[in-house]
Amino acid sequence: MAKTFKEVMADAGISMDFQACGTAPTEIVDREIVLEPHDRVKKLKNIFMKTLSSANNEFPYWYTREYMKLDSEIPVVRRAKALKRAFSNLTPVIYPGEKLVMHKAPFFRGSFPMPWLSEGFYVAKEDELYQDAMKRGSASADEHSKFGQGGGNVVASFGKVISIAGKFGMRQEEVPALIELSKMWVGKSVDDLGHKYEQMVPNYETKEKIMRNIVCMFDSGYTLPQGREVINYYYPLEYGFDGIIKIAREMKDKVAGRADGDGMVGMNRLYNYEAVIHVVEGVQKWILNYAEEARRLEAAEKDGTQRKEYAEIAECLEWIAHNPPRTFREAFQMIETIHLAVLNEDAISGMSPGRIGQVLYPYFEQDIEAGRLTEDEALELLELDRLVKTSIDCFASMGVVGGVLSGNTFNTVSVGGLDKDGKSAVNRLEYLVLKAAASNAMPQSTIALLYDEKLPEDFLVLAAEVIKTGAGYPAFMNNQIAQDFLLSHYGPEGMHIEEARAWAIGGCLETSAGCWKPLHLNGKEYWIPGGCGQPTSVGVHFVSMPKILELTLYNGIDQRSGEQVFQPHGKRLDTYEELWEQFKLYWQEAVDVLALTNNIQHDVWRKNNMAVFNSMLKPDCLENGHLINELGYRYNATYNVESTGTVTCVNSLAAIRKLVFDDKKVDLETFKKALKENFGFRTAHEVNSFSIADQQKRDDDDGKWDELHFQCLQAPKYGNDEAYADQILLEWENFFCPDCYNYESLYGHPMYPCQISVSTHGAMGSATIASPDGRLAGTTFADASLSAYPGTDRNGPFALMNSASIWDHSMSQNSQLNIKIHPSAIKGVEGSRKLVDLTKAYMRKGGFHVQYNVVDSKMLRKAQDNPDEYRDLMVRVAGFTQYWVEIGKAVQDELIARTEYEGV
Amino acid sequence: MKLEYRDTREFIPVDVDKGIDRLTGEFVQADAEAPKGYTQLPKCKFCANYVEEASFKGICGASTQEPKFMAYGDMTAITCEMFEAK
Repeated sequence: MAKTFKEVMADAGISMDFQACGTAPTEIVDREIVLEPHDRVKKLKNIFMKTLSSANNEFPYWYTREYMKLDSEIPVVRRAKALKRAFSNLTPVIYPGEKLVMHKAPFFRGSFPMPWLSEGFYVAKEDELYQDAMKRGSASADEHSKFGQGGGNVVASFGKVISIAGKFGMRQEEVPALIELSKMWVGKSVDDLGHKYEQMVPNYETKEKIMRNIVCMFDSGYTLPQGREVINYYYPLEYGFDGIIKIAREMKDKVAGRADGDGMVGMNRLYNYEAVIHVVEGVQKWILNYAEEARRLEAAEKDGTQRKEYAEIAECLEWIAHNPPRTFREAFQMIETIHLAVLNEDAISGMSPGRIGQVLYPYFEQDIEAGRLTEDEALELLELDRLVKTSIDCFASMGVVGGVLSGNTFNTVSVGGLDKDGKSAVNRLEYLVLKAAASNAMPQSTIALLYDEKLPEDFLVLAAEVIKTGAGYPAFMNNQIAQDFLLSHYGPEGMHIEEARAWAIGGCLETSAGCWKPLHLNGKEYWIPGGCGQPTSVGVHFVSMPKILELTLYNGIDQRSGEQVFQPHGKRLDTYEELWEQFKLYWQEAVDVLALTNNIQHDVWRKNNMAVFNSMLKPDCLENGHLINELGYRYNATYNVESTGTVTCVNSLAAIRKLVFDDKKVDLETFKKALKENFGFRTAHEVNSFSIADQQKRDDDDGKWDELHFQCLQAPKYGNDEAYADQILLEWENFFCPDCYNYESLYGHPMYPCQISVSTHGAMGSATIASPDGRLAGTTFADASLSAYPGTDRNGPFALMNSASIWDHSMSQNSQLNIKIHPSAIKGVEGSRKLVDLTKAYMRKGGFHVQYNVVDSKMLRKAQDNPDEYRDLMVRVAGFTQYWVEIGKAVQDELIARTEYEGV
Repeated sequence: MKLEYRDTREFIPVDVDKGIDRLTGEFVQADAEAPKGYTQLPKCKFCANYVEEASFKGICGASTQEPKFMAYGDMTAITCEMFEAK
C-alpha cells in the first residue's frame, strides 16, 4: 500500500502524533466521571437508544387539507387555520413512565416534512420513493441490521420502512400520500416561489454557480427559515393560554379598522390577532387531546402507581391548556409544550430554551419552600427534559441534516450570566440543571455557561466536572463580550445595558437578544429573561473562505468542477497585497449576491408562512399587533453572514505570503500546480478518509512536490502565539466584521458577522482541492472559527488562546474555539480547577467562546471501527454534542485528528 | 378479525418499525400479529368515509371541499371528529 501522510511525515522527521504537551497513556482512558440517571429516566432512555428517527404525514396532511380549502382567506388567517387544524389532529402518544409528555409527532423521535417550505426533494424522488414503497415486503433480519451504523438514523430502507434522505424512516403506506401532498405544493412552496423571484436578481447566475460549487452551503429561506434564537415562555406562564386569547380579543376591538398612522401594515394587526387566537386554540386542543389520552390510560391501567401518574398527567395538562401554571411541574410541562409547538409550526433548528433555570426558578423556589417539591424530584424532571430535547428531530434534506446539523437540533440551555441588576444570576436550580446534564448525559439540551467574573467558583468547578463526563458541555461564553456586541449592534434599536444582560445563546452558539419580563406568582414578582429577537442565524450561510481563496488563485475558476464561478479578475497577483485585495473582492461579490437572493427567499417565507405562535410568544408582538414578518419583535437586526474554514484560509494565506512573496521559495504558478496535483496524494474520496493523517500517496507519485509540501506544512500556522499567521487572522477579522454591515437584510437592517462552522467544515472541505497550508484535497477544514488545524498547534492551550484573542471578539456575534483534552490531563479536583483556570484565562484575554472535548482519541478510533459497541458515546463537534455513531465520517475523521492536549 | 400490532390501541408506537405492547410492556414489531381481543385503532382504512382508489391512498368522503380531498388508509384517526367506524 502507498505511504500514508503520517508515514511520509515520519520519514521527513516530522512527528504527526497529533498530541501536544505530553504523551497519552498507551491504554485507552475512559472519562473520569460517569453518573446514572433516575430509574424512570434510565428506562425511557433505553427506549430512546433503540428508537429510529421516524416521520409520518399527519401534520402535513391536515395542514394542507385545511390550507387548500381556504384559498379566499387573508393569508395570515389562512395559515393560522391550517396550523390549528394540524395541531388539533395530531395523535397523542404517552409512553409508560413519562412525566413530561407530548412529542412533535406520534413517535418517540418523530417528525414530519413541511412541503409548503420545500417539496422539490419528494417530487424529484417520486419514482424512487414510490417504487421503494411498492416493493417493500416483509422485513428480514439482514435488513433490520442495516441501520446499526447510523444509531437512530434510518440510513437505508428495510422491511416496510422507507429511508428518506438517509435519516428518516417512513412507513411504506405513507409514501404515496407524501408524494401527492408534495405535488399540491409545486409552484406554491417557499422554495419554488423564492426560486422564481430570486432569478430576477441581475447576477443570479453567479449565485447558482456559487451554490453548485459549494462556495456556499445552503439557502436558509426554505430549509430552516427560523431558529438559532431564544424562545420566550413569558406570556403563557404569566397569562395562560386563555389569558392570551383574551388579550388578543381585546386588542382586536382596539385595532379593527384602524391604521393608527401606519399606512402600510397598521391594518394588518386585526388579522394578526385573529391568527393568534386560531393557533392558540389549536395548541390548546393538542394539549387536551393528550389529556384525554392520559384519562383513557388512567381508566385502563391496573397498576396503582402508574394509574396515579396518568391522572397527574391529565390534571396537569387540563390545567395548563387554559391557565397559568401553579407549580414547578406544571410550569415545566407548559414550557415543554410551548417549545414543541414552536418546532411544529415551522422547520426550525436551534430553538433554544434559553435560561430555563431562571425562568422556572419562581416555581421551584415556592414549591421547595412549601414542601411540594424536593430537589431530587426537580432533578428527575430535568433529566426527563433531556430525553425530550434529544428526541427532537428536524425534518430537512440530507444536505442540511447531515452536512450542517449532524442530526442535532441545538436546543441550547443557558446557565449563569447576570440578572437584571447586574448580579450573578446563578441560582440553586441551575446547579441541578448542570447535575442533570451529567447524570443524564445526552446530546440535548446542550449547555452554554454565560461566564462572568461574578459567578460562584463552585458553580464553575461543577461545570468543569460535567465537562469531564465527556458530554462536551457546558461550553463557556463570555458574558461581557456578548453584552458589548449586543449593545453595539442593537443600540440603534434601543437596547441598553440592563436589557443586554438578558441575552442567551440561540442555536449552538449565536448570541441572541433577550429582555426581562415581570412574572407574578402568588403575589411575588420575579424578573425572568427570554428571547426578544428574530432568528439570529439566518442569512448568508456558510461561505467557504478556502474556496474563495481557490477561486482567487485560479482566476475565478473552481478547480474541482472546472466552472468559471466569478468573472476572471485577470490579475497577475504579483504581490501578497494584490492577492489579498482580490480575495476580499470575490468575498464581497459572493456575499452580495447571496444576501440579495436570500432576502427574496425569506420575503416569500414571511408573506406566506408567518410564524404566528412563535411571534406571539416574543416581546412585543402581543402589544403592537405585528408578527415577526412585520418587525413585531423588539430587535430585528438579526440576519448575518456566516464564514467557514477561517483557520484553513488564514494558514493558507500565511503559507503563500511566506513561501511565495517573502522567502521566494516557489513561484505562484508552480504552487498552484502543486495544489492541483494534490502534492502527489490521492484524494480523500479515493482514500475514504477525510482526516489529513490517513491520506495516501499516489502509487505513481515521483515525490516532486514533497519538498514544497513540507515547506507548506512547516510554514507559520495560527494557534502558536506567533505573529506571522495570527496577524493575518487579525486582518481578516478587521475586514470581515465591519464588511457584514454593508449588506442589508429584508427587514432593512444591517447584517452582522457570525463565525461558526457547525459541521460544514467537513462537507465544504470535501469539495475543495488542496490548500496552500498543506491540507490535502477533500479533507476537512479546521473546525469552528478559531480552532487550530489538527496537529499544527504545538505550543499548548495558552498559546492557542493568545492567538485566538488577537482580535476584538465583540465585533462579531460569536467566535468558536474547540479544544480536545485527554481525560488524564485534567484528572481529579485539581484537574477540574485547571480547566476552570484555563477558561478564565481565555475569557480575561477577551475570548468569547471555548469548549472542551475530553476524550481519548484512541477510543474514537475504536468506536469508528466498532460503532455498535459505542452507541452511547458522545463527542463535542462544533458547538454541539452528538452521539458518535450519528455523525458523518468526514467529521468523525476530523475529530480524531484534532490535536489532543495531554497536559494543561 | 386479525390485527397487526400497529392497528391496535394497545400498541404504543415507538418508531416506524416497532413499539411497545402496553399490556405486557414488551417491545413488539409493528407488523406482527396482535393477540386476539386487542382493540382496533381508529384509522382511515377502518372509516366508512374512506374510499381507497390506489395503493395506500384514496379520498375522504367527509371532506367539505370539491373534489373530495385525498386521504390515506393508514392514518390514525382518533382525533378526527369525522371518523365513523365501518
